[in-house]
Amino acid sequence: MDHKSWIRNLAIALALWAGGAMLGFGFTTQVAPTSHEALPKAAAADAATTSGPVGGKLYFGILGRNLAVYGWLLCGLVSLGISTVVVTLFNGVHLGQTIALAATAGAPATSIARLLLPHGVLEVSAFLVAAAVGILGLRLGRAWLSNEVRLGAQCRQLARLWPVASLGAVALAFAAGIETYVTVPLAESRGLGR
Amino acid sequence: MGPASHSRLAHGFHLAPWIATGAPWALWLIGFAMMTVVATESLFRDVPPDVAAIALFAAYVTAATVALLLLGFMFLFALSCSLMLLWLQESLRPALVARAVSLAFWAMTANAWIGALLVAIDPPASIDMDVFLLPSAEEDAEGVLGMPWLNELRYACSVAFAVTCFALLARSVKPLHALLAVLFASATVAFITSAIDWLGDTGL
Repeated sequence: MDHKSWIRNLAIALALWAGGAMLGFGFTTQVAPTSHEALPKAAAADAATTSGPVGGKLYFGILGRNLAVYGWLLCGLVSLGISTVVVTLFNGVHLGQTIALAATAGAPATSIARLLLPHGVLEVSAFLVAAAVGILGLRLGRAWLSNEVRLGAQCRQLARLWPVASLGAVALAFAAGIETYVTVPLAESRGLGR
Repeated sequence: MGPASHSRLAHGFHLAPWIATGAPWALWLIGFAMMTVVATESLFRDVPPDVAAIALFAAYVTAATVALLLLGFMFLFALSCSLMLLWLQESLRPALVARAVSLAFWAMTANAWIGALLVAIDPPASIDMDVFLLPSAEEDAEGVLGMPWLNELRYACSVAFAVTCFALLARSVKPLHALLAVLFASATVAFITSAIDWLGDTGL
């Protein structure tokens, strides 16, 4: 993938993700209950709890879920880019909703940023790179449908992106480590649960 | 009745190709939307309004994601069929494979409409948000949503989709090759979805 395509695809991925986040945040802040009493008992208990998996189990739990999202994003290569677009948007909406719920529950913006940024920077970067690669599925799909002889060449060109894809997976492994050993203890020390 | 009119009757009326291949997708979308709306509104009818608003938003976003992922995997199915046929040295144009998959998609349309009908006849009971947010490990989505037919209907329609796809491909290529292509495509889709689900369920 050339330099120009990288920039274009990363911009598309960022726009989708940020658009989803704004949608999730905007909608949830409009309708979210302003008091904890309105929340279901299970949600309140979940927010307050400090028990749950720790250490290695928590690490592999987080890593597994993040790799699943990463997999869905890369699947865009063989699904006309659809899974990439959908999962990027969904991920953004989910993040926006989470931030909005934390904000309406009274968590200060600086605390939310401290909890999200250390692992979020690596995690979101890896997701955006995977999305930029997954969007290429549209080009591949067009080549397949128009019966181009260049399909094979395009597949070989895509196969050369494996180092980037591997780098993204490594970044997710680091991000899961930061989330397990920095973010979760930090959240628990501030009484914000998980 | 002359031979020409007899021929017309025998073949039925012909639709434009884009209508014939596009109709199952459009009707599936309508059926799926109906099923989602009826089921979701029924599930959250007794939930306090401010919590229900968030739950409904999350449910509709999830439903839209699932629907679009299905479309993505239909493309993967067609691509896998085409690659297998190419490997078997069949000279079938990819557009014909895509057309066969589009026509076989009637099975998924049936899935959506039967689902919508079943939900309309027997709407799921209102959900307990505490059970919904903290489901027990043994209870699957079917149990939580109160729609015990969901998986069975999906499996039956998926089999119907694969069989229809095979029948349509077998008109243009050797039946054995069509069978191998459909089996390979089914295995590819099943493998990818299972592998990602396994990772997501932290089987890692």
